[in-house]
Amino acid sequence: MIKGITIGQYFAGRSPLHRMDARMKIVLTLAYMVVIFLCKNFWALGCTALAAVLCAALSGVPAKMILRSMRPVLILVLFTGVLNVFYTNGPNTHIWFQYELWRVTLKITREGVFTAMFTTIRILCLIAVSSLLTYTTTPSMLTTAMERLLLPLAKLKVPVAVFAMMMTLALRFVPTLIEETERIMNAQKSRGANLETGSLLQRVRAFVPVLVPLFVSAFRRAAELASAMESRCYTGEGPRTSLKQLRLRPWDFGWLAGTVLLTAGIVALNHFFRAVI
Amino acid sequence: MNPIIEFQNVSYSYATEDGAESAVQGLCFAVSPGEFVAMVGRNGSGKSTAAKLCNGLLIPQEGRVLAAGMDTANENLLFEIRRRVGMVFQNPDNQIIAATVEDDVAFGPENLCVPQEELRRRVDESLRAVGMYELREAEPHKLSGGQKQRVAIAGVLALHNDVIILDESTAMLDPRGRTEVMQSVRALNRERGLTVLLITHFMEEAAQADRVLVMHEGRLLAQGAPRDVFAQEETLRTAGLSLPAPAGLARLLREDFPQLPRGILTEEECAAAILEAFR
Repeated sequence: MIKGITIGQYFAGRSPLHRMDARMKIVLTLAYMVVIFLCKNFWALGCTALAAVLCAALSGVPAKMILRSMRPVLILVLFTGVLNVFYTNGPNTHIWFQYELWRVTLKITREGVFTAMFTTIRILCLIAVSSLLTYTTTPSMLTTAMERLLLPLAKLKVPVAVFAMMMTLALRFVPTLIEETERIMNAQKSRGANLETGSLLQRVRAFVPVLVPLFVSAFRRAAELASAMESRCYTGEGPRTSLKQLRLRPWDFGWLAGTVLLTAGIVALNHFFRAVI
Repeated sequence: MNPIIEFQNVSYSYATEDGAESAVQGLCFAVSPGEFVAMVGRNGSGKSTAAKLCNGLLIPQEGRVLAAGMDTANENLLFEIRRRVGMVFQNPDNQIIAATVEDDVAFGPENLCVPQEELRRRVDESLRAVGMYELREAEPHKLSGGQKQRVAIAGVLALHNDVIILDESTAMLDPRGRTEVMQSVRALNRERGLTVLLITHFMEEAAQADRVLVMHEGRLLAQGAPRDVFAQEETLRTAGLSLPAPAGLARLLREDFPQLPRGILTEEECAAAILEAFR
C-alpha cells in the first residue's frame, strides 16, 4: 500500500506556472509573502488575494487540492481569528458589541473584526501560493533551484552543494526507508509484537524494536551508498555540473513584471484608500 | 595487449576485534580489454573484496592492483580509475542516488563536470543502451529490481567507462530481473567491447563468460574457459560450488549413460546430447 507513495505534492502539468523557472518561482513566492503583509486596506488585500486566485486558476491544479492543503492550518486560522476579534483594544476602537460576563467584558470592535479578516485572508493566501509552488515544481527541481539561489553563499564557505546533495539523498531515501519500516513492522508483528493497541506510552515503547533495526539498516545503507557514490567519482568537493536545465525565458520576466506591477498597485492602493489596520 | 585490470600478488585483510581476518591472499590475475570474465566462489571466498580492490575502494596491503595501467594505491589517480572502472553493487536500493532515473544516470558525469548538452546526450545514450530510456522520468523506488540494476549500469556507462564490475549485482533479483541484467551486460560486452568482470554465485551466469575465475579462501583456485573449469569437478567441490544445472544433469546421467560427452554447459547442448545418446 505504501509502494505508490510520491514525495512532495507535485501535480504534473504543463501550465505556465509549471514552465516558469523554479528559481523565479521561489523568488516570486517570497516576494508575494512580503506583498501580502504590505496591504493596509481591503482594496489592496483584495487585489493580492485575486492574484493568488488567478495563479491557482492558471496552474490547472484542481481547487480541491489547494483547499486540502489549507486544512492543516484551519485551526490556527480560526484561533487567531477569534483572538483578534475579542482582543483588539485601543483608544480609537469602534465598539460594535459589548457584553459583561461576570467580571470580564467581551468586546467586539470594528478594528478587531477587520484584523481577524485580514489575518485570515493573509494566512490562506500564503498557504495557497506556497502550495502552488510545490504543486507545480518537482522536489528535485526545487532542490536544484534552491542550490542555485544559495550559490552566492558558497563564497562565504557555506557548503551549499553538500546541503543540496543531502536534500537530494533525503528525497531519494524517504520512500525506501518507509518501505523498510513497514517490512520491519511486519517482521516484529509476525513474532507477536503488538504495535497497534494499548496506551500511547505502550505503543511508543512497542515501537523501539522497530526503530533500532531501522537505524542499523539505515547506517548500513549509508555505508554502501557512500561506496557507490565514490565509485561514481563523487568527491564531495569541487564543482559539479547538473543535468537540470534552469534557464530564464522571456515569460519568466513577464511574471516578474507582473509581480512588480502588483507591488506598485498595492502601494498605490495603500496610498489612495484609508488604512483599516 | 596490456591487461586492463591486473592483480599482482595482492593481499588484503580486514581488521576485526581479534586481529586481522585475511580476505584475499597472493591474488594474481589479469583481465584483458573486451574480455568477459566471471568470478565465482562461495560467501567469504574473497570475491567481493577483489571487486572493491579493482577501483580503489580498498587499497591492497601487499602487492599491486593496476587498473587501466594505473596503480590504485596512488590517490591522485583514483578519480580517473573510478571513471574508467565502473562498479555496480548488489543492493539496487543502496546505489541509486537521485529521485528520478535520469538524474541518477547523470550523477557520475555531473561529478566529471560534463557540460549540460553533453550530459543530456550521455544520459539518453546510456539509458537506451540498457533499454530504460522510456522510463527516464520514473522514480527509482517504483521500478522493479532488474530495472533498478539496469539504471545502475546506465549510471556507470554514462561515465564512458572501459570496465564494468558487477559485484553480485544479480543476487537480489528474481529470475526475470537476472535475465534482464545479464542480457544487457552481454550486449554491452559484445556490441561495445566493454570489459566485464562479473562476480556471481550463479553458475549459469558464469557459464556465459569467456573465462571463469574460481576463488576459494582468498586465493585463485582455478581459471579457464567455462567448459574446462566446469569439467574439473574436484576443484568445484573444494570451492563449494555446484555445476550449472544442465552440466549437473549431464553428470548424473553419465553414471548410467557413459556415452554422454563431457563439457556440457547450456540447456541446448544438454538436450542435444541426451537426444544423441538415446538415438
